[in-house]
Amino acid sequence: VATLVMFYVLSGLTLASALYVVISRNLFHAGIALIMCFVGVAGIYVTLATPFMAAMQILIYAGAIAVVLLFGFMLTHDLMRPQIQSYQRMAGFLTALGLGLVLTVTAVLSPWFTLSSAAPENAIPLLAHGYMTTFAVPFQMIALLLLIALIGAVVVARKEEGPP
Amino acid sequence: MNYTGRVIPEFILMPLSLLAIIGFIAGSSLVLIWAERKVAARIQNRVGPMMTGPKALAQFSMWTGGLMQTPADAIKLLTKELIIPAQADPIPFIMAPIIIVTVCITAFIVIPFGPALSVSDLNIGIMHIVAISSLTVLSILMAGYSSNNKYSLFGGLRSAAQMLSYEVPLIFALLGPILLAGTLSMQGIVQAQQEMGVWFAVPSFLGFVIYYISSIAEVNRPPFDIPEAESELVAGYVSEYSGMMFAMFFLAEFANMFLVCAVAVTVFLGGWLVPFVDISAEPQAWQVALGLASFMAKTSILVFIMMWIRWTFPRVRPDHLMNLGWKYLFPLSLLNLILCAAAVVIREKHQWGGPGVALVGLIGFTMVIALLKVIRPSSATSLLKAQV
Repeated sequence: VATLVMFYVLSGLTLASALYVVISRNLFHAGIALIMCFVGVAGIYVTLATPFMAAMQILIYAGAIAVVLLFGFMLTHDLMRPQIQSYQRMAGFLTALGLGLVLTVTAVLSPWFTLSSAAPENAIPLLAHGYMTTFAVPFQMIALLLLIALIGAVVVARKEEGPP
Repeated sequence: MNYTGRVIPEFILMPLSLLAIIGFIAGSSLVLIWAERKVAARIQNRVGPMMTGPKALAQFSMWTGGLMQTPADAIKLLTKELIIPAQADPIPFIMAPIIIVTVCITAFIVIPFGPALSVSDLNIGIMHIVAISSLTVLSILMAGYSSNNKYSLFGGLRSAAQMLSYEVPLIFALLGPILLAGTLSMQGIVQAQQEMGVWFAVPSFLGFVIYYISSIAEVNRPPFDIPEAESELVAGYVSEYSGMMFAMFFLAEFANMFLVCAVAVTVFLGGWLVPFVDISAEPQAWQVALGLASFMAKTSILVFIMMWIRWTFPRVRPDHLMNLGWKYLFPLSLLNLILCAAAVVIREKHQWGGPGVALVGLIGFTMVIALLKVIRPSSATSLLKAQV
């Protein structure tokens, strides 16, 4: 029961902060709300008995990606004034609504895999084993994708020096 | 605290242990601030705070004078007005100190102070600390932004850049010992060192040095205190804070310093293990007491070395800082990971496990010496160039 209550509280927090990300007029506030949203998702992972996922969620999304986003906002000028103006409110709303509907319908209709036994106490060795055996190829592909993104970022960010 | 044997129900024990942690953080910060001032005074050939506290003790030696200085300072800060600048963004401004202290308290719950003496021995232990601590930078960014002050903003930006950069070698330096231990749980790492019979600082000496340097940068202490460099940025992101909100940043700084040293002790220096003595045959109460004493002694030594470094070295220039982090510490931390993996294989597959592990440690030690030799001439020449 306690887990269920926690789940609803965290879901509410996540949804509320996600909504605030969209409607906030202040870019920095939106960024902070985004981090709260990520932390809420991490909390949901904890209620689902996957603490490792929660730690990764906080470390990667809240601690690195969102912080770099905020870092970027802080380099923009005119920081303290509300900066965002949405030009496509209706289109955005309709897209979000449509996507939400599609996801909800899919989630309700699809047969969910249910765990036959309780989750293992310490799942990290199993996870590592999976990465190295069954899912080795997808794992390596993700690494490759990240490497490509990294090199791409360097190429985009690099100043051209001398004749190209 | 498992050793109570489930006599006390969880819902009473949990708040109690959290209160104990908060009390411990506040108490240790009081002691650490006093110690820092005394160490600074000794290094600069002064006597430091002497006027508060018992007069008789103050006459005895400089180390026993001014014992009540930090409590007095804390009371003064508590009674001061909280000023929120008119142009500041109030909600992030108030949230920033709260977040930094909350994060710190949350990180403390997995620290193994003694055998079975941690609030909660999560099986993701060390990842919990690393993940939660990565939110500290959020609080600093919020403080920098919401103060609406260009010095604060620069302080926040510099701090974010520095902490993001040094998180990478920090985590990679921890990966080596995790490989050796085969677990992420903090108690598990200590027990693995007990079973192996040697502290992980031996096979992973390189990792220990990298972790220690990176952690000084992580907690924004000199010589890596660029985010709050007084001579350039007033006080960086804390410039606009007053009273208790300032005190909370200060508290978090000292608590974080203790935290990184405690993690270093747990992962590299055997945690609560008593050197050269096996205490596992003693009665449980004795084990806990001895373990706690050993843990606190080791942590205090590391904290003292951090203070010593602070008052000895000049501040590092921002570009030097980034060079050190990305060009030296990060590749070396990868090397440390490889060395630790080699140590694991040697220990499991071969008869000569012990000497093999020592050999791996020797390679790491050589690398540290080489690192010092490589960095030294370049920084000396750049210093010369700057003077010319």
